[in-house]
Amino acid sequence: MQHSVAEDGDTAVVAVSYDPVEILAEFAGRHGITFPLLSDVGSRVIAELGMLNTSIAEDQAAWGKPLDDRHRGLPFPGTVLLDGDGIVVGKVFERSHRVRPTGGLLLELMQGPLPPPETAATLEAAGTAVAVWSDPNPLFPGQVGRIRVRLRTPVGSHVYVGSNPPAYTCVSVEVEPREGVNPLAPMLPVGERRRVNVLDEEWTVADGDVDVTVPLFLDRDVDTVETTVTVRFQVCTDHDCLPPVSVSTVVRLDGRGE
Amino acid sequence: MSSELAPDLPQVDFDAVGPPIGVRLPDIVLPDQHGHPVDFHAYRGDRPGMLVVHRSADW
Repeated sequence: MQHSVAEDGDTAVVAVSYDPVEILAEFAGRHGITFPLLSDVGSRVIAELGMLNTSIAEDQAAWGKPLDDRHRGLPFPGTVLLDGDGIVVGKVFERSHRVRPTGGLLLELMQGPLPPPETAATLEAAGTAVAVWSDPNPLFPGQVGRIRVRLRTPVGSHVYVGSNPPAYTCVSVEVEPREGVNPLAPMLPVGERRRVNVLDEEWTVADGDVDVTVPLFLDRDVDTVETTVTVRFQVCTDHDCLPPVSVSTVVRLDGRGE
Repeated sequence: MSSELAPDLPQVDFDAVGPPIGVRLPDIVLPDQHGHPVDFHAYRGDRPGMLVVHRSADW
């Protein structure tokens, strides 16, 4: 559970599961948990909030494992984030309890994208500042951590995103896989369709702060891992294009060790 | 996720799981680990809230 986020700010955290009170009391005592662990025996609230795990039978079959009574009323593991008025502002649900979002992701769901930290690597190419950083939390096995990249394009310029003709180099981020650290598909900005040049062509572009996130799935305990992050892009104005550029830096990922 | 980490599993639309974004979370009143009923919104007051949904503390 995300103790650190709860302790960082003034956020009211509760957890819910289908466990009876006695089980939660023992668990809270063993782990020193002081925030409320709510007991939803029978999973009434879990069902009413649409959080029941609807794929558990298929998942168990795919893993070659049997279903048993414990799977009845099972929720998808996840986190729901509320603003001060109780409005749902974000949620993250996963198929498996083995996969967990990081505190950094949850914070950004609540507060919007955070600026690069002071420790971010800062690069520059084609007049564009490129910041590269990772979630600060130590990563646990099963967590999806993140490499974050923010390009800041020069005023009056844009970069290409999504699918454009191969004549233009779209923003891409490549993270070198390391043992235990599995980069997943990058989350790229959607951009906007815009008529951008004298040829009267329409392309998908982005400008200003252009954010890319590369999720990383940690499949075992790691200590500290260094991995190379390579960012490619091409900066153009409405009239001119600079050649495509590629910048690389080494990012450190901290596991919890063991 | 690659096949090394998980077999091919049916797709789940996770946007449809859980309470919808932009809507107030319905009232939740459940007993906590001490057996005392907790009204999440009352407990929260005017603070932001985080509802962590987990499998079980038992397995």
